[in-house]
Amino acid sequence: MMNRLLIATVFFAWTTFAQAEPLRVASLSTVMADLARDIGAERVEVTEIVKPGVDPHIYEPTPGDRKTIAKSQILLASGLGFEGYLDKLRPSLEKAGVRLVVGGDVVKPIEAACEGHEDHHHAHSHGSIDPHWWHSISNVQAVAAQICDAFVAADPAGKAAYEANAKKLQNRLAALSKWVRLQLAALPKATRVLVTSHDALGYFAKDNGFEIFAVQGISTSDQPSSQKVKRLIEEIKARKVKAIFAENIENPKVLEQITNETAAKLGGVLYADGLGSGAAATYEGMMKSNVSTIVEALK
Amino acid sequence: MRGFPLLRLFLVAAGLALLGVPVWLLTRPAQSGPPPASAPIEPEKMAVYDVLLTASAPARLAVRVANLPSVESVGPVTSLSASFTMNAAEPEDLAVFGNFDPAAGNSALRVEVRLAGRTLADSTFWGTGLVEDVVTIPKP
Repeated sequence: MMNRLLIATVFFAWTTFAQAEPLRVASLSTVMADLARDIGAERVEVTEIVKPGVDPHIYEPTPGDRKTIAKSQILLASGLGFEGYLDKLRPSLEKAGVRLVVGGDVVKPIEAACEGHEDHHHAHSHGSIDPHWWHSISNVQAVAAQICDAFVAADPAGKAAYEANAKKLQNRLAALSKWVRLQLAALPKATRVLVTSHDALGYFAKDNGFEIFAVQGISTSDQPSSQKVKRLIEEIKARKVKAIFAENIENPKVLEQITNETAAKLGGVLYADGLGSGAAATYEGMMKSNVSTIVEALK
Repeated sequence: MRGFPLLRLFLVAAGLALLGVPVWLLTRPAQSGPPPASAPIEPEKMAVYDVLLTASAPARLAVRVANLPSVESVGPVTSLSASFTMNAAEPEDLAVFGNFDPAAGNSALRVEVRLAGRTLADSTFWGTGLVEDVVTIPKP
């Protein structure tokens, strides 16, 4: 009897010890950090290197960030050129044995509708691929599966927990997808025109039948020429666009100028480059906030 | 000619200018023309779409097109029909709702969309309690 009790105590202590060390995950993407928290739950410790509200287009990791990344077991990144510094990080990741999980590797990329190459220089490394894949829920479902696989590979003991959590997340994403379609069904197709600060909602537009007109290019560092702004104003007038949208990390000054010269109003703030705060602090919250803002302004 | 250097200079300058015209036409910077006009909107072809909702058990049924008021059943019914006049070039999506008694268990809501007697869409949605979804009508 005593022997059994001892074995049970040792087993309990071992399992407790085994679970005491969570999987260390660093994330350059606020969206992927949220997915990782959902899938990993208490088995992972997620550190957000790029935090909500920070402009990821111009972000550069600090020496402190590099140390944090080097201590992690998994690094999550959006990819498709979103993190211009990623290629420079790769050698140090390999050296430190950090597994890199790039969301862009498992999504269907689309071409960026990047206008105005003649009048600006790109300060970012991506080509003509739109890196903002998280605005398509089907892409997020693929990346959630990818993160689950990475966690199972790094921590096989947690396989059942990761897969159960991932399944719940996939169900929630499917419900979110239906919710989005139901909300957008209230918008006549002729009104599905999105005028935004920068060209970040291409995947959302493709999924839901919107046309995009962006003041800036694919990156927030792309500056619009006066000619481009003039063309945009003409287009907004011709299409009788009801509202244009600012972004949570942008200065909406140019958009305010456009509203002064057109009948369009400022329709609200969209979360384009990642998660926000409050209700938009989760992926589902961010999508619901964006869709509600769009429907309210354009209906 | 020999006695008119100014005339000679003028003729040479004129000749050079004429030769330069085609080169200038080929190499001049592209003009930032007027804003691209939106695609001309074709005259709308309006058409009447007939929608039939059929429920596997009595339910409050409703169908909504874009931002128009929805057509709803007064109480629990097993079918609801409605007609919507829409642009045939780009018909709107339909939001359909069937609010079943949860005690009815797994329930089905069938949606048929017809144009001039021809079926354009035929979808069935399953669920318990509130069954709701979106039907996209294919373009002609």
